[in-house]
Amino acid sequence: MDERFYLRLAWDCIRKNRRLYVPYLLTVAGAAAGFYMLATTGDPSGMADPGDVRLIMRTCTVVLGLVCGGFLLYTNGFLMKQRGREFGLYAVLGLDRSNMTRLLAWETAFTAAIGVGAGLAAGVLLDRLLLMILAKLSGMPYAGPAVYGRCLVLTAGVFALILGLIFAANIIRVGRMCPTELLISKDVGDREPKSKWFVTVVGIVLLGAGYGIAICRPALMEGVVVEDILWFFAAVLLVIFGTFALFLGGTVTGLKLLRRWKGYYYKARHFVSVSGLIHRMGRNAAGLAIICILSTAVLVMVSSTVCLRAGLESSLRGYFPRDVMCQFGSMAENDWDGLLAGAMEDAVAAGYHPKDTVRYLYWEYGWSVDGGRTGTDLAFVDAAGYEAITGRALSLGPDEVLTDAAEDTLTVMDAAFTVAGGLGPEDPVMAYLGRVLGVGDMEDMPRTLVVADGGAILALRQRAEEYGQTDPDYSYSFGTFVDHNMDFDLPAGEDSRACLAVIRQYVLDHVYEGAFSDGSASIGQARSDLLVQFGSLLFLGLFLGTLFLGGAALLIYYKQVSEGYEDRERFAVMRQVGMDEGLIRRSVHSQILLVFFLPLVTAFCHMAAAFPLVARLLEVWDMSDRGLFMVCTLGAAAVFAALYTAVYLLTARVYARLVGR
Amino acid sequence: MTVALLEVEGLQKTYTTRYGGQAVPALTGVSFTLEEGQFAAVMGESGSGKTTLLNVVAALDRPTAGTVRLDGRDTAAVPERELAAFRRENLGFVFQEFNLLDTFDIRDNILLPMVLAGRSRQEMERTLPPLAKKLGIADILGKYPYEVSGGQKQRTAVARALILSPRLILADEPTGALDSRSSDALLELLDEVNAGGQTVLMVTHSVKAASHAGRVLFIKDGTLYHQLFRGDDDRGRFYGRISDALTALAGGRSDG
Ligand SMILES: Nc1ncnc2c1ncn2[C@@H]1O[C@H](COP(=O)(O)OP(=O)(O)OP(=O)(O)O)[C@@H](O)[C@H]1O
Ligand SMILES: [Mg+2]
Repeated sequence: MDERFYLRLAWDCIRKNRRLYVPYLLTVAGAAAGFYMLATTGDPSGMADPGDVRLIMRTCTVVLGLVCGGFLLYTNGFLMKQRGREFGLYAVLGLDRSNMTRLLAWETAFTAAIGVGAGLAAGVLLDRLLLMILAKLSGMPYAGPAVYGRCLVLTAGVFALILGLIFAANIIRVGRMCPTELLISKDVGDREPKSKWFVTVVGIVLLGAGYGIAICRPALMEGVVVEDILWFFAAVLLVIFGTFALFLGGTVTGLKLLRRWKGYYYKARHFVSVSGLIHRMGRNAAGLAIICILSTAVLVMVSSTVCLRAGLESSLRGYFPRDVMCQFGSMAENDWDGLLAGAMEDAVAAGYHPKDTVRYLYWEYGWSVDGGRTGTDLAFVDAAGYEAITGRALSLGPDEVLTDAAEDTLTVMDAAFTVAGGLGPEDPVMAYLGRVLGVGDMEDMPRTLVVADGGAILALRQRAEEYGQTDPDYSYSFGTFVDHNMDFDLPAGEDSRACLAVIRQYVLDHVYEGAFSDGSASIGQARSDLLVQFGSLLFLGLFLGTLFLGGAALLIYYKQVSEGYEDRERFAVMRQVGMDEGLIRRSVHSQILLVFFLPLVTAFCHMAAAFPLVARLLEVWDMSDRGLFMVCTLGAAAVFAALYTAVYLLTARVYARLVGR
Repeated sequence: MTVALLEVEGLQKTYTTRYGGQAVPALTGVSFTLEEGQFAAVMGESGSGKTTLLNVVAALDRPTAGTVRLDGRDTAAVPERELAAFRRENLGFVFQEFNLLDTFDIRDNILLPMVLAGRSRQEMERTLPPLAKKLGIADILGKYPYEVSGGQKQRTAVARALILSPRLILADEPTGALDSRSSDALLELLDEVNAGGQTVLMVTHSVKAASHAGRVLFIKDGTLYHQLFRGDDDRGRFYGRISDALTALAGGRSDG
């Protein structure tokens, strides 16, 4: 037969099955567009890359490629199942396997041309918009070509590979079945599913293990280390497999148990629903599990990235009690008071309006004796600094200190001090220093002593140095420099970054000795650094969230269509055998609702179980505000539930049209 | 003294095709009455309107004109939401296409009307086994409709129609898919049921099946064309008369 014949036949097949093919082509196009766009964010010819953003984007592109492959393979399987009868008919009409292969080849070619072509076109059109959103969210400058040739080729290649695999799978599928089987293959799906005790138990065990890790692990974690990330992925995998096993085995097994309970089952309402659900679940389990997992992924990604972004300002504020935090130190005795005062004059001259200025000295010192067997960390602050930070008056004699010691006297490096007052963890100085040092738990703070003045600190430092030279077992670990700190706020609208630059320039120009330390920071710089990270994470969260939601929506649509086709006949029969319309509608609708909202409810359960672990992992990015994360989680859940319901209602109209009289 | 259980008067049914709105007359005026306890057969060519008649009688379809009175009650006057219960309680219908539900096994398909009517489980357990045994489907009760033969499906459909012992049984070719032995068994069951006082209206193409009835209605082109009463004849003689009538009918067509 002529090649043109197959071409026409393939085109007719696609047109005849458009109710199935249009969403499939849209999926291919959407996946290709998404893949292309994500690839461009990681392309070297695109935006400048201030952090690891490009690496993250590229990793995600690879993951997305795999997800798209799996998803398309699954939806294609669904499509082919619906078309089983059609292929059976071709087989009966005399199309042999090689004819069928040619038909499928043409169909694949059309799918590739239309789907990938449209996807790439949409990708190129939408890409600028997307990159602009990324630029906006992350504060990176927007740049890059209009079309990324390399990404186009990559996308086309990846999708050619995916569609090639699908083509191969289809040939195997069609080749393996004999015509009569193909003819009835639509009915085979209606077979009563078997109880699967083993799968159910495996599902419960896997899910339990995953939940166990997610819930118990955070309590065992000290800081967040690489191992915890591995635990997280282990929990994710366990939950994914557990969900599949439970949906595949658990639902049917549970329903069959219900059916065995005769007193319950043989009631009009339950009778129809339970038997209907057994069949629906048997058929839809895998799809529902995928919907559930996609939904969970969307929820976790969106809630955590939104939380990071939303918490940016408050976590920044945590580290920055003032907008500009100047911190200089040196070995030689520079006149830091004079230097800082001069720098401040320059800043004012440059048009800045510093306020709430706080000046203090800080020296942190740790030593160990006997190669580290005994040792301690001490921090020293001058009394003037104490006054500046707390706003309280304080006068200390040269041998007096404030500290949280229980004793009345204290010896530091053979120097005796009288404890003139307490300095508990709730003291404003401790809180201030805790923020500057980024110490979340006050227990981790070094013991802090407020001493009379800078002279007292320098004397101690001198002594420490002498100790270090005379005793070989005695070593001090840090505290080379005494830090001169000057923290101040700026009115809204003044650029803390530029202001710090003015101050730095002044210090650089006027310092007597070259070797000095500069630990200064401005909230503006920190903000833009974090923005790049959190903004691009938020971008990824929203982008992948949208794609996955699209995937879930598509599956819901497919499911509704197939339910509709099957229920149409069943509806008519039920009416004829004397079920009243109300009962039919009620029971069928409750079944459908259950089928579609089971994945959503399960996803919410997963999300709740993941909460402690994800909250812990967010601490990697210094996000420790549980309340905010809770709000973001609930918000994401609410928005997602609304979108899910909207998708359900929209696709339910297709269903209603199919079963309507 | 017998009471008229079913009164059909001037029944007309015209189908309008979905595309083009073409009118297809399926029934053009049928009137008859069926007394309580009668066993009537309906015969006629394919497409003559037999299934349509049964559907309208069972209120599965609305007549275009005319009335159907069941036990004196006009079925058109039964409100839509009561219709299902009304049908369940008064009628047993054996469909030509069986209409079994593939989500239920054979047992549950048969029990469906009982469950819908809210009967007790004890009653279900009491009623089902003897009926299934008589119909020869006792050992396939756990199977699903797609796992059994056409004849077994048909007997399942009959069992479902009989399970609630309805007053009027409407059977659309209940022996159509059966071999002669199972159709004999089925017809005997119908005889038995009829002897117990239930009324039967059965569509059939088989003269043998029709000879079990006490009365045969012949339908042609949507009208009641001819009627035969068995009277005091035995089954064999009645069989002969039905055959003759059918031949005459066919002859009438070739004449006309
Ligand atoms: N739903 C319908 N829509 C349109 N026309 C119909 C419909 N149902 C039946 N008809 C037409 O009405 C006429 C009577 O059909 P009916 O099914 O009653 O025949 P029948 O006597 O039962 O035939 P058979 O012995 O083949 O079952 C036929 O011409 C048929 O084409
Ligand atoms: Mg018929």
